[in-house]
Amino acid sequence: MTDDERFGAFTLEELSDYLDSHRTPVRPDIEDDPEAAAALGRLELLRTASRDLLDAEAVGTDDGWIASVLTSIRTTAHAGRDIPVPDDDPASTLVVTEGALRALVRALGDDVPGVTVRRTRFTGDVEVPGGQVDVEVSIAVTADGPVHLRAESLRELVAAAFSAHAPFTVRSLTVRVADLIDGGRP
Amino acid sequence: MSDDVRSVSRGLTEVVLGVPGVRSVVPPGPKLATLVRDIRSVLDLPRDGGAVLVQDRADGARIRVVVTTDRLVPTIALVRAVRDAVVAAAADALGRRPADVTVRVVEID
Repeated sequence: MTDDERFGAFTLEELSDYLDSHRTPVRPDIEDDPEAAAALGRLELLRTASRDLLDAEAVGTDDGWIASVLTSIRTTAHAGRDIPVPDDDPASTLVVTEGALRALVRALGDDVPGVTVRRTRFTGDVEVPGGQVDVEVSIAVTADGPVHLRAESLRELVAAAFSAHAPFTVRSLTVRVADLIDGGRP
Repeated sequence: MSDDVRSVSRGLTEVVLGVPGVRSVVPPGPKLATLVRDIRSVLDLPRDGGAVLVQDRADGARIRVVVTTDRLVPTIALVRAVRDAVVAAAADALGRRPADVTVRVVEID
């Protein structure tokens, strides 16, 4: 995310991370900050592609345009930081968004039975082309199978996917089991 | 956007969609901070022309491309292929190489 603007005491990146964690654990410092709480509400609204928008003047225009508007909102609301792709052409800027990689990890998690990806964090030289980055994936797993095997399966899938899709060098890749889901409830 | 630029935008959108692994071309919208302030700002997205943003400037064209891609195709190679295709097609259409091209991958699905 390239927006440095603050809403109350917080950046959009911090608010976006908090939403990604489903507002748990509750952060009173954010919730009690009126401007941050308002921005959080609007950000949540963006992520659900609000009915407000569809009620607005978009109604009556072509479906293709509405679809592109909704895709633009969805991808912007989840974009995160721009991660530069190493490239020799000074007249080009090639980037993959953090949100694209997070969504990829979530989709890979859906491919592993019993695994739900809760959060993916990138730290290190994320905004340096080809930089060294640490990746941490937090997951919830169901208790009806070996937890470590599921975590390892996801780790292997993410490692393979990032070798093809991530513009950075993965310095470390950690899959952390944050929740055990027993009987379908975390 | 002039009619010429709209036409170039539509042509470039088709070129980008023809790159293997590109699923869709998304019009570059307002920044997140702008959207958070006013969701209706997204309604300013152009309703005609293509999804590729083309700005004709004195020092050469500035082109912005936003794509969603297929996860079966390696993204790093894909984003460079999109750039190469856009530069070649824009040079054909405009008569000279664009001054600035940005390609942004926002979804890998």
